[in-house]
Amino acid sequence: MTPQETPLSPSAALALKWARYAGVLIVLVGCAVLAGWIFNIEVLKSVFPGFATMKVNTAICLIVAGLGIRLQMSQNVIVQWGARLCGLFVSLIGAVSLSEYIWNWNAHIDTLFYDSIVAESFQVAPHGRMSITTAVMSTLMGISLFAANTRFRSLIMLNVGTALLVATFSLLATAGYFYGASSLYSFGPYATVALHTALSFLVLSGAMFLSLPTSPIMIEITSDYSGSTIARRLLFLAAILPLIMGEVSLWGEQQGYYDTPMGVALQALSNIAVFTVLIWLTAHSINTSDAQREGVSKKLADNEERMRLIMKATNDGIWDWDLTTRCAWSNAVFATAMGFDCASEGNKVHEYWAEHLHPDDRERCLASLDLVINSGQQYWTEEFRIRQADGHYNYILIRGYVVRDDNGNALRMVGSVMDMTHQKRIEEELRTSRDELDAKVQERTKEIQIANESLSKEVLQRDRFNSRLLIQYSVSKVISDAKSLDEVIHKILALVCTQLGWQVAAVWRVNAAKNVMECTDFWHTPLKDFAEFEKATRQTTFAPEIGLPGRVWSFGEPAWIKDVTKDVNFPRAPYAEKENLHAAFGFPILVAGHVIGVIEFFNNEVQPPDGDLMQSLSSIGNQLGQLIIRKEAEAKVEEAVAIREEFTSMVSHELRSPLSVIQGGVEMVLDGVDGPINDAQKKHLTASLRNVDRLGRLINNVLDFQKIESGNVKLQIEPQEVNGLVDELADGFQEVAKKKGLHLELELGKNLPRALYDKDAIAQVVTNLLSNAMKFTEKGKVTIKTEQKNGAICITVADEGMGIKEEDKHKLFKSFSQIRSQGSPNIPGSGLGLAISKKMVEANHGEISVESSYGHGTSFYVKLPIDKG
Amino acid sequence: MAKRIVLADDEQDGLEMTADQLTSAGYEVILAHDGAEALELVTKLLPDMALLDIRMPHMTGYEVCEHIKNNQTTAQIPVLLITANSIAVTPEKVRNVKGDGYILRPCKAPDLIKRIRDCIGW
Repeated sequence: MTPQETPLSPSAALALKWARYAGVLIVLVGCAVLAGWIFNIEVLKSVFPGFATMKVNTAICLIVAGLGIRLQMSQNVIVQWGARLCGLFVSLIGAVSLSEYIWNWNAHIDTLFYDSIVAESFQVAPHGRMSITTAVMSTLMGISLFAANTRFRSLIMLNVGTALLVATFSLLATAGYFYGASSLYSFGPYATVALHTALSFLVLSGAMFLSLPTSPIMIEITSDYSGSTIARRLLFLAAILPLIMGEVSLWGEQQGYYDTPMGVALQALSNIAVFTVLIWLTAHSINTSDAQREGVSKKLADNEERMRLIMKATNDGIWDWDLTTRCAWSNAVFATAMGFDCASEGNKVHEYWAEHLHPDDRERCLASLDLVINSGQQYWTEEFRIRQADGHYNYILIRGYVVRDDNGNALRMVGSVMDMTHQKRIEEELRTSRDELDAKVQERTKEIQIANESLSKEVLQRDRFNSRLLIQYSVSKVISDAKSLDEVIHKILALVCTQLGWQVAAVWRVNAAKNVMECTDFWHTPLKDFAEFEKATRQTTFAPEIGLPGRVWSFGEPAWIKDVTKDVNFPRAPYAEKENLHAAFGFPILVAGHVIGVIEFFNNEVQPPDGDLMQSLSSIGNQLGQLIIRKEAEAKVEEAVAIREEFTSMVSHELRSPLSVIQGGVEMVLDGVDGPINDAQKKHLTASLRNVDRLGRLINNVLDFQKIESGNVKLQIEPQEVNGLVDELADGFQEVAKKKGLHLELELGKNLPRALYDKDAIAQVVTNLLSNAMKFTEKGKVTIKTEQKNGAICITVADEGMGIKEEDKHKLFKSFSQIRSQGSPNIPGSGLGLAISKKMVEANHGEISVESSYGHGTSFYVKLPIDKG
Repeated sequence: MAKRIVLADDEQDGLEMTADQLTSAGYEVILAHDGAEALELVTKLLPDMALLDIRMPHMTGYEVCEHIKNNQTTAQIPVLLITANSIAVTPEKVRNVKGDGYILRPCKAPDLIKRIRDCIGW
């Protein structure tokens, strides 16, 4: 800091002000005296009549000295040199005058100015020379002026010393006037120091001191410290009181109140008293000051302690940067945070800081600091990274306050730093983990999204698949429930269209004769009328390879048209366009690899081929083909069945009707209705009647077999016991047995459970078996037996006839086979009986079997299920 | 007074043969040669019974029977259907036209007479 920038204490400023006034006053006094000489005004020359006059030289010296005082107060060095010249001049006048006294010579300076300004007629004090005292004082004053305003200590001492001497001499002279001690102001016979000369030099020396309030002497008086305050107060009293006390004691002595010793004693005492009081005042003053200071220092200490604690508490680094010296102070925390100590960096603190800033932060921080310092802002806040000795960076939050002078110039910055590294690291970690979390969430979200997409894709596919499946299922159902092919096809059109959301469908059948396809069915959604397209479709026929039906027909494969209105091979395109039909799909109805028809579908949207759909619909074509084959086969079977039934029906009627007439006629003749007949006639007619019966039975057997074969037999299977039926049937054969000389034996099982069977059917079977047994047995017995055997009811018919050879057994139950054995009698029979019996028993869920021993007899077993309910 | 039976059959031999059997059993027989005639006779003469061959021209025995049974004045007359076709005839078909039964040819004279007596007596 430069000196001019140090603010002056109020006392020093006041001193300067007084010094200025004093300088002016001295110049005025000198001028007044000169005027007194010029205009011969006594009062101006000597103040009081008879008193010594102030010489012209002295007056000029005063003027020059006063000017010098004024000049040397200037800040300008050149002007200060002017002051030195003034001092040189004054001391020169003084020294020359003094040399005239010492060596008793005349240098002619005494009247140098005098002659030029004072009229010759005036006879004044010899030589007009200034008194010795005045000459000494002038010399000293001049030296003092010359030595003022330097930095050299010896000169300062010279300045102060000479000024003090001047003060002493002038004070002595003044005191001489005051106490009437002329020896004090008058040396020798010549010049006496004039009163105003003495006072003027007193003022001059005072002005000299005041003009340099910061000089080593004056600083003790002008400073703001309490010592100076005391000095300012006491100096005045110390100067005035002894004077007054001396005057008072002098006055008392002159008045004769007491003698000289007494006076001296009184003066001494009063001095003691005065000094005691002054000392006491001083002591009090200092004590008070000390007490105050103590309070202040305690407060300071408290503040300091508080400050220290706060710093400790905040753990902030503190810095104080002097912008003038560019040096800074900082605490330990600062050094830890920033990585450097301000004290060790001297006035390069800023440079160190700038150099260690993170490159990314440097420009910004320097700019913001510059801005704060130069723009008049007071607060600076910044965040930056600063490189540490080990190369890593600390995060710092810095805050500063700018101290400015009255002109707004920045003098100093004070502030704090906070080490944010840990927080930043935590923040960074938080951010990293948050980013990681975000990334993970995003990843998961994406995964979920992908999963969702594939899921919905799958669902869509599943839906489509289900829809297709549903179509296929529905189609299968329609086909299986179908009564006619046309009905099936129409239902399929409606079903497929409804399921797929297509609008129109048509069926084409091949007309082989004309080699074209003709529309046999047309379906459209009930929501809209496709009249024109329907008309066009129904009226058009397609040759192979022409249009959608022709194409499918020719290639035997499904075909897809993305947009029929844009297709070159689609003659119905104009109608399709009118009805807003676009996508089309056709598939063949195949019978044994041969196209017999085509089904086509239309949609109101343009659609690219759908392979799945084509495949699933094509399978409908195959199903339809199979259906057609099945229907044709069924129709053939039905026809065959119908023909057979017709035939049997015809046979039944056409054979029985004549037989009935023959029988009736023969019976009537035999009964003698038309008159008596002889024995021979009777014999012949009886034989005729017997053979009519036989022919009737044969016809019945053939028809029964036919009935069973065609599944036309309707059985009434119900739980019932078998013994009653068997007993009844056996009864009917007793007469036949008797006639033939056979013994028919009946063995009925006891407490048999009921069996499940149709009475008529089983009666027919048992009758047949008994009839056979009678027929093939010549002597011995026939046994019919009922029993429970192997969880079934068994009816056994056993004979003692010729028996059946082992190799013939397998033929036994076959149609139209009668076993002829060599040498056996020719026994009439259709050979259908056992075949019919077997079928009858099986229709009753029973079994028929045979055991035979050739030459010894045969046993037939009919097993019927037991009623479990 | 002998019971009157309308007998209908399109085959002359069968018709006469059966008529002789009935006559010899003591019944008065009125002959019809087709369904329409049979219905006309039954409606006009209100006989004690009608024996109708099933297969006849113009009207089948079933149709005649149905008309007889649906006509209040003739509904009480018993109707037996006669047929040689054991395949075509079924009890259900007879029941459907409210017939009183059917006789399957060839049928022995005693059996035939027994069936008629079961319906109308001597």
